[in-house]
Amino acid sequence: MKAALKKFGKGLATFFKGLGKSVATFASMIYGNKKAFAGAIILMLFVFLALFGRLIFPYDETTSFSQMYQSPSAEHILGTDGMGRDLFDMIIYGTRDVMSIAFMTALMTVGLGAVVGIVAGYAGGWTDKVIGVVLNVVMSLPTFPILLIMSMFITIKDNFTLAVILSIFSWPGLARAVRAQIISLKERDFIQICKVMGLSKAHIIFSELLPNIMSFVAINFISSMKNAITASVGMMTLGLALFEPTNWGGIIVNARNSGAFAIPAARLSIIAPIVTIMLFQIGAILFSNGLDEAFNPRLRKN
Amino acid sequence: MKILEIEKLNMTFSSRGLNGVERVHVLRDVDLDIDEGEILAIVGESGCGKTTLGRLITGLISPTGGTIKFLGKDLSKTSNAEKKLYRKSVQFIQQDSYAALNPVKTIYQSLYAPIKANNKKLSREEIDAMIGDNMEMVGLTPVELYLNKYPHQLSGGQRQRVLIARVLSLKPKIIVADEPISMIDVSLRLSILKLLASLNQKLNITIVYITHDLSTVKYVVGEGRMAVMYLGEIVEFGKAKDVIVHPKHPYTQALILSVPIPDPVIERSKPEVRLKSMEIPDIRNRSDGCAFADRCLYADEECKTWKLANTNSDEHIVCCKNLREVPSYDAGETNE
Amino acid sequence: MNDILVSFDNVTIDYVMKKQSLRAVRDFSLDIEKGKITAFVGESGSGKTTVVSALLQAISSPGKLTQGNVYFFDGDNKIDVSALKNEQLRKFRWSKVSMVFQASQSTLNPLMTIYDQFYETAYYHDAIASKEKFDERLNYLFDLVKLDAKRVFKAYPHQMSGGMKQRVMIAFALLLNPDLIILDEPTTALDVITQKYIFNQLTDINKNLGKTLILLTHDIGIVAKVADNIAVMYAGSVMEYADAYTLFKEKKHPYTRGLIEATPSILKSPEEIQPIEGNPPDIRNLPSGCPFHPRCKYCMDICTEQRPPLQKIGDEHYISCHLYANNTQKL
Repeated sequence: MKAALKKFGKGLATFFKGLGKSVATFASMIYGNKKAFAGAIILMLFVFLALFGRLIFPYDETTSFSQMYQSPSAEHILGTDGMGRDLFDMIIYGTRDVMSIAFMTALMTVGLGAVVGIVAGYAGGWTDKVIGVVLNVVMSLPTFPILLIMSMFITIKDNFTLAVILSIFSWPGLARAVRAQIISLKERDFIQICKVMGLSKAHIIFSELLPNIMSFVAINFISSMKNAITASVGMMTLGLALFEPTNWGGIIVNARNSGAFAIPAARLSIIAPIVTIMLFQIGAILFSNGLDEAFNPRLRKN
Repeated sequence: MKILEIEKLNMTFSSRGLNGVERVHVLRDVDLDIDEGEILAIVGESGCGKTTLGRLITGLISPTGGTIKFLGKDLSKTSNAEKKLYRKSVQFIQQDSYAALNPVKTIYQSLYAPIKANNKKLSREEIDAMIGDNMEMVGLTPVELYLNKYPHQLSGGQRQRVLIARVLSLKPKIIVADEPISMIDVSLRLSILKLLASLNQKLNITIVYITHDLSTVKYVVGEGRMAVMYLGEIVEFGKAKDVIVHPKHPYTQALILSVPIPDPVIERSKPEVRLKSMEIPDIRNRSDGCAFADRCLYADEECKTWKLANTNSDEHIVCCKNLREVPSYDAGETNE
Repeated sequence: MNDILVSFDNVTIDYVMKKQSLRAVRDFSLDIEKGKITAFVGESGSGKTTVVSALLQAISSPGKLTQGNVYFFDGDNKIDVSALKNEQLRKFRWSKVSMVFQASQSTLNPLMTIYDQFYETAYYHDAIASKEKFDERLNYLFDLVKLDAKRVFKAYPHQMSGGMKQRVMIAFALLLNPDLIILDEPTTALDVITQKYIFNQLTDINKNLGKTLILLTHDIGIVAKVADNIAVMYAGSVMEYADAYTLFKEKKHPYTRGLIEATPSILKSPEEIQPIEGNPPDIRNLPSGCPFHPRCKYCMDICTEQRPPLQKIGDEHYISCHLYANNTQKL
């Protein structure tokens, strides 16, 4: 038992060392590629707002119907929502929730997906077959109908559970992709020679294979985040997830429910959060496309 | 002292295709004994099975028939510990030096890992010293210049030397080198070959040099032996110098005649290569007897069912029934 | 003195990029004899592929012909290839000069049969008078390269060996009956018996059909038999040009000598092989004067300062080396 723990600990250590090195190479690649760099700036902006936005743009929760749907002015940059609250401040405030949901979802999706993918790809044989069946089953689950049914029974009240539900439906896709990558890497000369040189399986997985799929994983992480945001808006619309009024999706749903579309002055309440989501998507897409270019020489423009 | 005894080695690859399971019998009844400290070349054209033989010797794949004995012990019957020792004692240098190194690791990391894995008790300083020694032995100095680089930042020749340094760190008894210079610039090839030969001279490592380029054989094996393979079998085996200058098997003769010699006078006075067909046939259509029978000018009906009992010997072996009909050929002769 | 088919006249080719311009070929002047096989020998970076591509206006981008001209003599007609445009260029390519590119076996369309690919190419060149005539021509071409037409017509590329595919590419190059065929590394990746077989066929095509051939290779050994004339290139310029026998016998240029002496041979003993010292040139950072001087055993002061001009030192024998200035033979 002790030996197994020690092995695990060693594996983890090698993993983090490999991770550190990968992050450094990663950072230099981002800097070198215009798209990735631009995307990274946008994403960093969102992260910054998530962490410090609330301090810089304090949000006043007080509702006031007299102030509702005010046009943009010096006091309210984007005007107010249906309850008289400053729209701009709300969006900034909600960034933290949105980011944390997206981040947790991505972490779980990528974490579970990558681990399962690596195990299936490297072990092969029956392990691979069994995992394959599991993946197929989960992937064939009809997401929307299930969520619809769930919304009749439960309401998700906290961000973490929301993230869990979101990731349940998305991890198999990543697992499949990682598995394919590992299977092709396995056949490469530099992996084959590891066995000849007496390197352990743990070393091969954590120290040789993992760093090679880091870029792939990172790109998928960002994609996962952007998909989570869109999906969470969907969940809120279904009524499955309870939301703060400051959550971007929440702003859209509230506005829709109170018929904001009909009132010209109120349309900003729908457009502003949508634009914010789009901005994030653009940042994410730029970043992952740029990274893809940086890692794949064939896509580089000369 | 025989370090490796290969007897009736067979290798069949099965793949699941559209027509069910397809079996390709890639190696057929190969017999080969290798002495400790020997340098030996295995030559042949593509599809002859030389790479498969190399991978079997290295232990990357297991044979589907026959035995391999390491220092007298049958590998299929050894304990796990002995198998591990064998693994460590036989190392492999691949053809594509770029594919053989992890692209996201520095040279230092790629050299460190195998040493650490096999010598768990060594300290970092001791391992660094070993790395330094091995890099010097392969001529990659000053060492600091190379250690922090990634594989794509080195030239093909430098990468190949790194592969050799990596293999040396495991202190192997046998090194199998599969086409080690075919992907390197022409001007850098000879120095790699000389390096391999020196490893044998200085460290008494047994070297198995696999190649399709007959012109390079002498620079590695010197006085050593050479086995010529065709469609999964050894057709001729003897001292490289003898086999190259006085090839006896009709296939070897065709091969030697086709090797370009950088001299127009000699080249234009060589006799023509005469074979019944210029294409290498599909290995699945190989006859039960001599694999070369369908292309050979001197073959008769019986050749298709004839086989030599054992291709192992210290003498110059030729797997041909009709040797008396095959004219002798001296590659060194020129008609001015 | 034979007819000249192609004349390279002071050709200079630069790779023009945003931040810098690299000179791949410098002041290249050479005449290609009609009906002969000329080999251009050089390592990577020597410029052999670049300069010969100019003959088809097919220099890979961002390469540009910045100086000089390439002339093709079509009977009495002197065609300036570098000035051809559009329709004229299209007609010129493949019907006067064609090329078998390096590793071109992999440029065959994996999803079409060989027959269909030939048909398509001929169709786009308006070369199909009637199906019968086309089939006749194809049968003829395949016979030339010793391919079994019946088998190969219906075959897909993956069903053929490397040697067979290369012969298909040679047949392709012959399709419109050009006067000149360029072959870039025609036998790399092929087994040695197949290699000999292909060279034999090229020799037949040259002797029996009178086609002029230009072979590009980095291996001086393989052209000893098949080439009539050999041009040795280094860092974008010609170092030596002579007929094969003279070149191998006299080895006047130190680089030629180095190349020949560094080529392994089943007849040479290990001590007789001398690799060339130093590293291949970096065209971003070429040495001053003669580009070979850092690696040359006979380097003199003038070699580091001035580029030696191409001079004639014998019958159809040209050299670019200070050792032979004013025809004084120092070696």
